[in-house]
This record gives sequence, structure tokens and C-alpha cells, in this order.
Amino acid sequence: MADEISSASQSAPQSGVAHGTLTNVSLPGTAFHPNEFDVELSQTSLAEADELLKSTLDEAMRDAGGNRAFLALIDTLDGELALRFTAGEGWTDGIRRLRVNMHAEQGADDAGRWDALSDTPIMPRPSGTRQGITRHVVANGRRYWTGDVSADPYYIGFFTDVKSEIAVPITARGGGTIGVLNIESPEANAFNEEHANALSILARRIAVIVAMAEHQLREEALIAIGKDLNAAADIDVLMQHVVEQATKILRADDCSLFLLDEDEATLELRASHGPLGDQTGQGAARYALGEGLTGWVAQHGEAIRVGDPRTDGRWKGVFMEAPAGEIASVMAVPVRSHRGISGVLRVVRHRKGSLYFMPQEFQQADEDVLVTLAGQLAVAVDRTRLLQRLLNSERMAAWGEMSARSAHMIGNAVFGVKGHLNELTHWFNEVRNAECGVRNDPHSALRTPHSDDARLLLESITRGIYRLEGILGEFRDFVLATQLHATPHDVNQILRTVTAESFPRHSNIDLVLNLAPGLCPVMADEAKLKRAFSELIENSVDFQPQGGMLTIRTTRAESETVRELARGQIHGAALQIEFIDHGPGLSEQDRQRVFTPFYTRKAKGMGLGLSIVKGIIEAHGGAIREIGDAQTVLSSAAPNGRTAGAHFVVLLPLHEEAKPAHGDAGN
Amino acid sequence: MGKILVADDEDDVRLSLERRLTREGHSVSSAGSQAAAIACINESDTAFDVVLTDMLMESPSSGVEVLKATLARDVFTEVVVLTAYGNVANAVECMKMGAFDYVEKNIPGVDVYELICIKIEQALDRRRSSLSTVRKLEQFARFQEKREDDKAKSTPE
Repeated sequence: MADEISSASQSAPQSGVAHGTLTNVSLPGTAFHPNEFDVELSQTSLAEADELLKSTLDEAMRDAGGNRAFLALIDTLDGELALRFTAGEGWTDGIRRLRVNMHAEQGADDAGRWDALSDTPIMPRPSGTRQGITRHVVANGRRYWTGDVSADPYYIGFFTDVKSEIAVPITARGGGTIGVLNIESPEANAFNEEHANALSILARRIAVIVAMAEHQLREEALIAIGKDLNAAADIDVLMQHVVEQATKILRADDCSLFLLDEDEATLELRASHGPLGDQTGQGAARYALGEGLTGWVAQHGEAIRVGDPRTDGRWKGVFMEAPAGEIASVMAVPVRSHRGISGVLRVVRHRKGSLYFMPQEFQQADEDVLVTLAGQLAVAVDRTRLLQRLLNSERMAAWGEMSARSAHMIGNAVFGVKGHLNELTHWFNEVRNAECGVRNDPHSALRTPHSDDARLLLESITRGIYRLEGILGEFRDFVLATQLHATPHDVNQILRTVTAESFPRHSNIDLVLNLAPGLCPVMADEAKLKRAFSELIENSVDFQPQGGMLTIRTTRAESETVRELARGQIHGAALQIEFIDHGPGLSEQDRQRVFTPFYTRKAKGMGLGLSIVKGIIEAHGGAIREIGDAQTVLSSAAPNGRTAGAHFVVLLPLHEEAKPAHGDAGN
Repeated sequence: MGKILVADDEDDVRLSLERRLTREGHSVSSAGSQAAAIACINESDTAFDVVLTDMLMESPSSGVEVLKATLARDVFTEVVVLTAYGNVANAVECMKMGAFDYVEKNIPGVDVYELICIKIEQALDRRRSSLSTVRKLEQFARFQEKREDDKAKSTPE
């Protein structure tokens, strides 16, 4: 008998609906398949549950004295009964694949109430679906046995040798029926109440095992989400991730997240699993504090679970995930950050047309899960806001220093130009005096004024004005670095253009372009990206006055590189652009400070160059690092005898799904 | 008229000042950094009459360093400090340490080059008067010494 079961479970995976193992099928009473999660769940708890369920089924068949048994559990994805485990002889994959459709007849008013049809005569159904004792037991939640199947009004047989059948419902803790334990016997009148009592005890055990496995899966999914939350830097991506996962874990049909605005008076929709998802961003769906169920939760800081939301006095139905009539239940919990309520996370379940117990009302356990998710989310939101404030204050500090420095530089430059202008005025006076025959100032003009003097002065003035413009340009680039208009671009093409434009035509520096073909486009502001690349090129050229080599190469970044250089900044695929030269390179101290504003190793300029580059790259959602040791990384490309110079690595997120050309990422 | 050192790291500024002060009849040397200025002060045959230095060169307190070096060489050399925006605090510090005056480079509506020329004339006047006072003191000291000697000689043993 045991052999039979194990061979059945081994042959199962190739069949359409896998049987005999929980790891391959959706857990009864849950809507999630382990492999639907992005994360790897440990399978040990599930394997253990499988083991227990199998042995319980064997025990049930032995105790009842039947020759065949099966355990059918409801698949919450489609609301059908599926045979999970079988014991005894004669089972074929064909039979195991049979699903019992538990949906109500079309037109049934009370669709969704499993007890609505409790004693209604069962009509024959189209082939491919089955009804019978199993369906009857699930539908009315009561155990049932028959001593003569040929005379039974419900019985539809899988096998011809069956005389007696007994079926007991498996009841979830919440009260609904989640499956059936079924034993058959070739003997007539084989089962009695005593058997039913014994099987009911085993059915309770099965319910506990299922609940336990489900609980473990939830717990693991929550831990996995917790890890994601810690790793993700982009708060919008993270929030979307949480609503998606909450929908799955809670067997909900939709989940939305509202966050309280800065003014703490309105709730703005930030992420949603279903159709409401379109109403985020500009012109997002908003609730006033206290408005509707969602507003109430934010105002009072209490969780709510509402059965039929339309009957609740607080319900407004302003922004719903589905038409109000289709919403069976709503659950909402406050997102509590350390400063107080910062938002509301809510889930909804739709009305179901299934007869069996489909989870519609949210339970306390569901609320606990949602509260946990909201807690993790609050930490992430807090952290992001803190980071934002930090970045802002850094930027404000930079602005302050920027103002002082540019005032100083502009002041000096203007003073110089004024000096030249004074001299030019003096020159004109002397010319006029000479024309009038007046003797010039004996100290300065021992010779007649010459037009060359004036030309030199004019050149100096022009130079001074250009310098002023350069300072203003740097100022402007610093301010505008983070304002992008991004469209999909081929970075290789941008690099080719930039090198053609910016790399000095007559140079003793060898330029090597090593561009990988077939790279995905990047969402980029072409002008800004060009500015960043040309700054890096100019930087490299300036530091190799005696000649040298500049290698620019593009590749698809290894995920390890992304992790190491752009931890928390880039998720998913990235394009790697490297600028490697053989100049003096950077000291460890320089490496730390090279991107900070006003730090410069060059005599000219305000020292904003690389901080502008960093601003531009980060506005593209990317990252830039100086890693040095060009020799080791470029071992194949670097000719022997060259010294290790600067090695800048730029990582830009790749957009592998074709994005619309009007995208405005980074705004 | 005077022996003057101009110290400023901005080429245009240094050139303009040098030219203008030469035109005013001064003998002008120039230095493009704090270090060069200090070297110049220490190595010149005779001390400068006036040192005109920018406040901010290698460091925000370059002017202070140049002032110290100047006074170490000749306590009567006058120092005029130039500042661009935002360095007034340091300039005041220089005043406390004995600088003649400070001049802001950017004063709206003022020809600062003219102002600098005036300050330098005033600084030269003060140096002249200081030197003449010193000379008088020296004469007085010599005179006193001589009187002491005479008194000693005339006094019988």
C-alpha cells in the first residue's frame, strides 16, 4: 500500500495537475504556489506536511477498512476540488487529474454561499467535471456515507467495484470546508457512524496540518518580503512589490497603499495591484483624512475588517479596486512610522461564484499578516524619507558653499576685467592726448601708445568674460544636473558622438573604444549624458598631459558588479560603462572625495565637474564609482608597462522591456 | 616712488594691478601664490615699502601668512589686504595684527583700482612717517648717548 502511494506521487509531476505533493500544487486554502514567489522558500516545511498528510490518509483507509481512499482539497485559485493524495489500488493519472467544479449554477442568486444549495438535487454536469458524494459533502459541510452506491442519489463512481463509500469534510479553523476525506470499499454496508467519528478526528488532523503548512509558507513569504524591503532603494518599486505580495499572501484580489502627504491632511494612492494602479503619480487618487474607510483608518490609527463594505456607515466608495457590488470584504491597517500614522495599506476580496468555502471575510490571522507588512513598509518609508532629507540637506549645504564660492570667483574675475577696462580707458586717454599734442603722463607713457596694447587688453577682457560664462555654466549644470528629460537611447551611439566631439583631434593619447554590440537601450537624457561623458573624457585627457591611453568600454554589467558598486541603487540589469586611463590615478583619499562639490585637483574651474557627473548619473537612476587598479581589471586590454590610472565605472539601469518613447523616468 | 609687492593668484588681477601701479610710478614686483610672495619678501635686497596681498590664495588665510612674513622682515613695511566676497572676517583679523588696511575688490560703483592707488599712497606716507620717527628716535638716542659720554668725561674721577 505504501509502495503504491509513493509510486503515485513520483509519477505525478508530469500530469497536468500534479498530485501527491504539496510542493507542486497550490496549498489548499491558500492562493499561492510557492514558485510564484520571487524568493526561494525553504521546502522542508512543505515536504513535512506532505509526509503527514500521506500517512494520515493511509491511516484513515486502514482504520475504516476500505480498499481505496483519496484526499481532495480545494484549490483557491480556481475554486475547484483537486485530488491531492490517493491511497489503495487502481488509481490512474487520468482519474487523479479529475477536478470537481465547485462553482454555482449560472443564475444562482446566492452565489458564493456554499450552503445555498445544501439539499438541492444535483443535476448531471457536462463531461470533464464531476459531482457526487464528494461535491455534496463539500457543499453542505456534513459527513456522509452510503452502504450501496448504486442506490445513492449523489454517487458517481470512479471505479466499478465500489459498494460502499464514506466521506467526511475537512473544516478549516475559520469554519469553511476546505476539502474531503473519502474512503471506498468493495463490501456493501462497510461503513457506520463509528467509522465516521474516527475519520472526523483524522480530518481535523488534516485541517491542522494544512493550516500549519500554510502558516509556515506565510511566515517565510513575510521574511522574504522583509529582506526585499531592506534591499530596495526605490520606494515606488518597493511599495508596488509589497502590494503585489500582500495580494498573494492574503488570498486577496487587490491591495492598495495610500500614504499621508507632507501636510498630513490627505492620503495619496502610491501603489495598487489592480486597476487602481493607473491612478498613482500625478493626479493620484486622494482621500481626505477621515474620509471613507481608508481615511478613517488613517485618522484613528486602528485596523478595520469589514464584511460588506456598503453596509458600513463610514464607507464612501470613492476609489474602489472593483465595482462596489463586487467587493465582498475590505481590510485596512494603518502604516505606522515613528512619527505617527504615515499611511494606510488595504486589501479587498471580490465576491466569488464558488459554492465551497472561499475565504471572503478577512480573519484575525490575515490582519496580523497585513499589520506585519505595514510595519515593514513603515520602516522602509521612514528610511527613504530620512535619506531624502539627508540628500536635501547635503544639497542645501552644497548650495550654500556654491553661492559663497561662485561669488568669490565671479568677484575676482570681474575685478580682473575691471582692471583691464581701466587700462583701456587710460590707453584711450593717451591716444587722445597724443592726437591733441598734449604731453602724456611722464611715468607711464615714455613711448607713444600703440594699438597692440589695446589689442592685448581686449583679449584679456574677452578671456575674462569667457571665464565668467564658464563659471555660470558650471553653476547652471550643477543646478540642472538632476532635471532630466529621458528617452530610450543607445549609449554606444552617445559615446561615439561624444568622443567625436570632445576628444581632442590632435592628441598623444590613444583612444580605445570597446563597445559591446546589441545592448538594450537606456532611458537617458542625451544632452545630460553627453555632458557627463565628456567631463570624464576631458578629465582623463587633462591628467595625461604627457600622453597615454583612454579606454572606454561598455558591457552588460555582471550582477555581482551591480551588487558591489550600486548596492541599493540599481535593481535588475545594468549597463556598465568604463573610462580607464593611464594617468596618475587617484589616491585613496581622492577616491573618497573626488565626487564631492568644490573638490578639485585641477587649477581651473570651481571643482564641480565630477559632482555634476555624479548628479547626472544618479538622476538617471545609475551609479558612478572610481575603482582604480585599471591594470588588474583591464589586464587583457592594457599594454605592458603602463601605469594604473583612474578607472571610472558608470552603471545605468537597463530597460529590457521596450519602454514607450515618451517615458520621463527620473523626473 | 615706492617699492611694492603685489601677491594674487589670479593672473588677470595681478597683471592689472602691476600695470596700474607701475603707471603710478612705483617699482612693482609680483607673486602668484602665498609661497612665492613669502620667498620674494625674504629674498629681496631691501624690504618692500608696501605689500599688497590677496586674502585667499592657497588657503583662506594666505593674507595672514604673507602679513606675518612681511612684518618679520621689516616691521615698518605696510600691508594692504585685498578681499573678494566673503573674506571680511579674515581681513579684520589682519587689521588686528597690524595691516594698514583692507580693500574689497568688488564695491559697486567704485573704481577700486583708484582706491587701491590711494591706499598705497597713504600706506607709503605712514611708512615714511614711521621711518622718520624712527630716525628721529635714533638721533635722539645718539644725542642722549653722546651727552652721557660728555657728562662722564667732564666729571672728575
